[in-house]
Amino acid sequence: MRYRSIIALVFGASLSLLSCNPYEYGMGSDRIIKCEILSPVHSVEHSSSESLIKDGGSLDMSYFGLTEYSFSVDTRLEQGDGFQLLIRPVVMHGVVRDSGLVIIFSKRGVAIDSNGRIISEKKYPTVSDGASVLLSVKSDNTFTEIVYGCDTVYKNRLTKIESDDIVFKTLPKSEVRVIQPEWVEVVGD
Amino acid sequence: MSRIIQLWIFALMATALASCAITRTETDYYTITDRDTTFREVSRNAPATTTENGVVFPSSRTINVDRQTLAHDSSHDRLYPNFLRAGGIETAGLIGTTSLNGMGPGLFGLYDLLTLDQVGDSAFGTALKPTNTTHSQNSSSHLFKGLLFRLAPYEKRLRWFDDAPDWTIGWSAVELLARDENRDHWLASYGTNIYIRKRFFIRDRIPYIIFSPYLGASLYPSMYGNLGAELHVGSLAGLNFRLYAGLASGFTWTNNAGQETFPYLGIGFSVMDFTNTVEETEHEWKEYVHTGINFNVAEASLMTVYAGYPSIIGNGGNYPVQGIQIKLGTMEIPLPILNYHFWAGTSLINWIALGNIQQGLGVLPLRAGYRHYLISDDLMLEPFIEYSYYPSSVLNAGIRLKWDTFTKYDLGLTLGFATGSPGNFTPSAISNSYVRNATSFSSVYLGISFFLGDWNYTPEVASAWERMQ
Repeated sequence: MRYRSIIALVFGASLSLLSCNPYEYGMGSDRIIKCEILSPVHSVEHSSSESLIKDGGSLDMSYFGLTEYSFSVDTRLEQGDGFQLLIRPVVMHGVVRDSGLVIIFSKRGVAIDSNGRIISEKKYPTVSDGASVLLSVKSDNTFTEIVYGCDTVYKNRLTKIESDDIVFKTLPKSEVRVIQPEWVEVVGD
Repeated sequence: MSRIIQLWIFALMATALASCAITRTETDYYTITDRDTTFREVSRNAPATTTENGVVFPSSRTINVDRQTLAHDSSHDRLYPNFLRAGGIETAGLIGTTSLNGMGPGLFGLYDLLTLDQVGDSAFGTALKPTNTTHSQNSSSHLFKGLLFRLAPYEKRLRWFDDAPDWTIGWSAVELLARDENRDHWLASYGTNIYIRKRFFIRDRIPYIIFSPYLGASLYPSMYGNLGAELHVGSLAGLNFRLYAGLASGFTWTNNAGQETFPYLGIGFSVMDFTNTVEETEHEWKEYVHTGINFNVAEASLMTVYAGYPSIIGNGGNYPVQGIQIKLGTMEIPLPILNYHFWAGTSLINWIALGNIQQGLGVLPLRAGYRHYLISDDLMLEPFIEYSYYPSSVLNAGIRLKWDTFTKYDLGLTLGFATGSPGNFTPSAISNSYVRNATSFSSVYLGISFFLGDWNYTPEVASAWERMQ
């Protein structure tokens, strides 16, 4: 009897490993947002409600097919200088092919990078250690609005194609925590 | 085992097998917004005036501005290979499994499966028939006492231990670990088996050389564990060579033989069995490295034989078709001669019958030829020569016109000459209605061939991997 149990245990345990993929997980409560770690697997620690992106970490969040969206998440800088947010990126097979619009949040302010060029630099808002700040992104056709806390850091029209991805990256030697993301469709006017 | 448990096992395995599709699809989804603005200006000037009237008496000009926004979704599917191993048939002859004389399947568990010794002796227990109840074992001793057989083995990436590299998890539709000629000593699994393997690459270029320890378990009809290791060379156009060492232990639910535990050493071979590295699964199918110019699951030919032999159809009847040739698991590899249009190949089994009793069978025959394209990649002309050395000795040479329909079902027309003797092969291994002892043959023939599951690649595509080495 013990022999049969061992065989059944080996079989069952092996079967349970089939869907194992440490790079992918889901986050969120109402709608489960698909998260894919684009950097080494240890660079992101995660639970069902929050992810800690460590130094060198890169996390892709997506909700399949929802390209016109309103996205919000609490962000908290745990250490270091800040993080990057990639809007409308093209992510294929775990690789960022096109970074889209890159918003750099740091203790020195906010910079906006497009195609490798800084197109805007502002001294405010700044990122503070340990403070939870709501970050929201609205993408509706060509219109894009990014609000950090109470400050609108970007509000303009973008000609880039709308993707169903948003990517978080940390700045060097930084760690940022993203908490309770929500991804909902934009209701038309 | 109750039927309810059996149903559960099959349901579980069906779920697992459903995920073993060889293609993984990734879909990109975007929305593209086009904005268009049209300015329409109308000047309603007084008759006979063509210019503006100035600011004092301006023209009654109207401007219509029409803005349109069109948002359309764009989706694109990318297809990737989704397996580290997907195979056709794997066989191995096992050594040291028993103190009995053994079933004697031959080298690779293949060469002697259909021979006169195996089929003709009623007391001989083989893969095809059980031992006679009056004999506890076969009358002659064999080096290869047991048989390992796997149908459609499949492995995919196992991402555990923080995605430690080169672990695989897999299973096969059918697995047989036959200890010896006594069927009560066999361990079999129908879909209900699972294996975890760790790959150590000794050579990481095609053809790979991989050392793999493995642990497997099966539930039904035999419940067993299988622990061991294999040295694997391949795949090259789906061909693989394997050495095994392991220990299997288990019992069969449907007999009362009790627990079987036996060590084994094995020498095996597999065809239509493709091995990938993880890197290869990260490139799309359209970039996949092909190492053969032809892969074919089955080929059947109907032949008009000019020697006038009685037809194999209807056991000697008078039919316009006298002969049949069937090949299973065929592959061809381009050779670096004349721009890779020369090729060498083999098949798992090559059965040729030019008449009712004029038959021969080749296991892993040697084949070579030249491919010449007549119309684009669709129509090709292939002179070839083929030599089957065991169990029959058959030389077959000819020229083939082949039409690639790009549907995996192709057609061919062959004019050839075949000569040979059946050797140790007995046609009654194919069908009980066939004769036990075949005769030699020699004739010109004209055949029409049907290819099932047929993939053709140009020599330029199939030789690219060699140039990349």
